[in-house]
Amino acid sequence: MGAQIVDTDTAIAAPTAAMLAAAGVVGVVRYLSRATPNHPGDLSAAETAAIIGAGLGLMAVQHAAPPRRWWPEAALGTAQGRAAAANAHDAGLSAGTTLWLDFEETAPGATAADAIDYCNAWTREVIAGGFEPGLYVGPNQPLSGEDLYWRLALKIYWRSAAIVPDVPARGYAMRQSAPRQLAGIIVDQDVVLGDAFGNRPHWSVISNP
Amino acid sequence: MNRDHVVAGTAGVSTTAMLATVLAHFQNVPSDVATAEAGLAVLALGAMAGLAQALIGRPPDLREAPNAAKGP
Repeated sequence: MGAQIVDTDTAIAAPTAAMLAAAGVVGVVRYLSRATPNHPGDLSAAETAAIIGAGLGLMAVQHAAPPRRWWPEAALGTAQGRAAAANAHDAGLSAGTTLWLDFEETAPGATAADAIDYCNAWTREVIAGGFEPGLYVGPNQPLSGEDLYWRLALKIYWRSAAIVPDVPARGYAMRQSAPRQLAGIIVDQDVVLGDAFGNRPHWSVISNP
Repeated sequence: MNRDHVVAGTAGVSTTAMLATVLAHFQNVPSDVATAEAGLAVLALGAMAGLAQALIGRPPDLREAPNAAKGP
């Protein structure tokens, strides 16, 4: 069996983390809020301790805005990227951990130019905060595959379970598939494939004594 | 993957303000008193977060996520 990763919008306590590990899960992606501090229910330092304490790897993804009602622009990317890094830091994630931008469901009429400015501003702030930026490519957003590869500053992509553009040359480093119930919670299943250049995302793990 | 619609309406509302609203509702106290009590509750939450950091003990390490073909 390949290395199974799950993403979930449900907070994971230590018993659930242990059950996930026993089920063969090796890593988890949990949510960060769009503003600081993290909302209750999003990733906390206590949850980080529970997850990595069970021997799981941990990455984080920042919530998308309500579908079809938000307009991507540079100022928003700056604010949300800064919040992502601050929330990840507060949650105790190791510097260099991959933080994913959940990019989907922009307002009708949003342009690729707006989206590029938004994503690149987010990327700058996440890098400035000491983390690795990655893009979760979801449905109903204006970027083509060419835009994703040639016009974004980040270098690692996560393919959603929806129908989304291919990323030319590089491809996706991680792929999401259908949701299921596991250890009593609803999770999406993911696998790390590595992209065509051999890049894979990075996660936080418990340090060896 | 967008499942945060429930909390979307609370974006921009501080934890202290939300707690104050809840305290005022259940305790039937003036909102300024509730706000002060909520502030203490937020401080307590902050202390809990620090405790959680202590539970981690050491800063986490950073690893490359394993390729699916190289699973356990």
